[in-house]
Amino acid sequence: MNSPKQINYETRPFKFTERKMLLASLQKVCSFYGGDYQYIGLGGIAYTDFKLFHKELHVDNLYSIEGGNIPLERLKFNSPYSFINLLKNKTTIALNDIPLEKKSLLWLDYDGVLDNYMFDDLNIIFRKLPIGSIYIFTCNRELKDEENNEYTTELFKEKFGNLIPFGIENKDFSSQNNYKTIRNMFINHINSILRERNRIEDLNFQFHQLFNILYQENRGARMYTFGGIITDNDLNLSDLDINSFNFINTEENAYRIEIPNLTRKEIDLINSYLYVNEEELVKLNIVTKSEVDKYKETYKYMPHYYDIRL
Amino acid sequence: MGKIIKRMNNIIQGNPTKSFFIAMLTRDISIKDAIIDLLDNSIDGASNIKPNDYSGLNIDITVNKNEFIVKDNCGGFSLETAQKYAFRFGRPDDAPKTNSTVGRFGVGMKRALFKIGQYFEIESKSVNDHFQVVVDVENWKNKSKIIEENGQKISIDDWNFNFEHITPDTSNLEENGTYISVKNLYPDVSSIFEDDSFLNDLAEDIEKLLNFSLEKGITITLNGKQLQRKGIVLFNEQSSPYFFEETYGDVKIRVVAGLSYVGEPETSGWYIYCNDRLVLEADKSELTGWDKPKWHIDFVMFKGIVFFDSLDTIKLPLTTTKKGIDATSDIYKKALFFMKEAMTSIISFLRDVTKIDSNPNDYRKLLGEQESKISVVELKATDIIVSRKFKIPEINIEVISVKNDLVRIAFDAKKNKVISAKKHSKTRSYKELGEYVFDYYLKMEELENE
Repeated sequence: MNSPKQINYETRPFKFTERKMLLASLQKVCSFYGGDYQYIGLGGIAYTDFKLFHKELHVDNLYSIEGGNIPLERLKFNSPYSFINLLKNKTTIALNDIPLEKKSLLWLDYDGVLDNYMFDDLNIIFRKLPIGSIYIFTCNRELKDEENNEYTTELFKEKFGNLIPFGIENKDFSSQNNYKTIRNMFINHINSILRERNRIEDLNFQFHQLFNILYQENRGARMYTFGGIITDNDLNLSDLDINSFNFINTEENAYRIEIPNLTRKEIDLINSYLYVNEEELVKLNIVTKSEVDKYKETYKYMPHYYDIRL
Repeated sequence: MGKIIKRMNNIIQGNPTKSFFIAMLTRDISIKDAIIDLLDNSIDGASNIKPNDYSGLNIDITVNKNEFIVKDNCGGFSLETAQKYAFRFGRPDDAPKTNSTVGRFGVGMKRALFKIGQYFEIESKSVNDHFQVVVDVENWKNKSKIIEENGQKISIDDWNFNFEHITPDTSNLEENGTYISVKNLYPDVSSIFEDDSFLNDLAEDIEKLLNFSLEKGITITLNGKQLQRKGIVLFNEQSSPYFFEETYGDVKIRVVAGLSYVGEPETSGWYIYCNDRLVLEADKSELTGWDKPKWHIDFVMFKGIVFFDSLDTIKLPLTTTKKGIDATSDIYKKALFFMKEAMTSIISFLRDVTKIDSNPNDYRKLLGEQESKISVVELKATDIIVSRKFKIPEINIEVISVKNDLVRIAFDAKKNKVISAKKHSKTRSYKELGEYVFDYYLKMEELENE
């Protein structure tokens, strides 16, 4: 995980928006399940999600895993709180050091493309997590091999063995479908582990998808976020009070984060017409209807950047 | 003496003939397995008298074209056991739960003896009894007895065996134990007993299947040659094995897995013990979870052991031949859940080892030299301090991940051009020139900080 070296996470508007969306819904979900979560994430050197979830979700038990070659000294130096547990190892190994039998919120924000270790991680996580735990992962959704070539079904099978969806075709690696393939593989693997586990513990653990999100930073990597919650019964979204969020998604087709490119003055303009007189607004020929619609989807979560003197 | 009437009543006999019974009983077992079944009885004895340590206990096997002998000092069995169980075919329903044995079908000893020859002696000396049973199979087959039914005397097959008490002068046993001898061997058995390759196979099977008992200190000899323990060990210092233990119903499961020596691919995989008898060895098949991923030579250091223990042996996930695992049983599926968990972390580590840029085998060997080892007996007995966690070796995982970042570039170029480029760049070797050229490209294209 070397991307923290290349760009400051805190200034990525799409990532920022996604993070705020997750937060908004997690506040509801965590509270429904009685709070008292531990957070497990890949903090890098920015720890943005750690700061946010600590302050907004009141999660005090935090574990940051970093498997790249950033020195431990640098990771420690940048840690915003001394009580964040730092695990310098790759995730599959580090997850063993975390008491996963405690109710957890995990966001494994991998920056790479789909790889076997992500399924290894599922293998560890879903054998232990209790009810109410939330699992989210993000990865680059391009289905390409290490040399950046799009997979063929043969190569994909060679790499992922029997994890691959039955009857997979080359078109399942295309931009339109790649995330569906990834989602399929994750759901299958999670369900297969939970089935085995239910047999052991005589339980009825189920995984319910809540997040299925696509975004792309300007000219950057195409990312995919998938996640959900472990329960022991059918899930009713209205119980969790999250059905009003458009980005909550239990379907196969993903929710796309789209942020309109607007100036400060344009934003002020839209705000003054919002929900009241939008038709008039579009007639002014300053912003398009599409921009207004995108704005409405995201304005509660979008960041605002200003240049300030420190 | 009254007149004996045969088949003059309305009974149609449903009893099997003894010949048929012997044929059926011995049909599906190999001679090797029959012998190992007999040894199981000795080991059951050992575990009764010295459950934790078998040192000082011996089993001596003699095999030649005339005779087969097994002699042990493992405590023998009582006359009551002989009368109620050991010489009956099949275990009665009211038999007490066997004390962690694998001899659960109550046919093992008879089956083995009938398989080998036509005359056998079994002598047992235990704390209270000293007796022997001598069976001449031909005589026994023809033996009948008279019973009275509906006022009529009829002759039926007599299935009983007779025992006799023994005095010290006729005894083959100095200590408490069992002495079994079979003579008048079947011709095919007799010829196989002369065959060295059979003896080698038998020795190997015993070393393998009874390795747990050998590790616990029992001495087994075959024609005077002492058999070796073929110990499975796991590394236990730099790394710590994965441990899990739980009791489900009457069966205790312990799953242990970790790293072991490189260089013996045939010993990598899962080992499964049921009441200390090895029933699956070095398995690398789907049966033990090797489907995601499949076993690969990169995983050669992986070894895992599952111990199933139960007083009620029928609950163990064994097939009826005791030679395999019943993978459909619920208890086995429970174990498999944790086996898969153990494999995930260990395999993940082993995958990293393959990425070491220099020779991964050097690292694997280094680990083997530096690690302390823990034997299969200790793995079973040791207290579990950390459950469900494999600790990776501490040596130089950092080195692995740094080296993991490096790739090697190689290409050919015209010699005279290379020499002039080397001169021009003031580098001293082709290697240095190559590095210089690559750095130069990164600098010129402003890629240094990407």
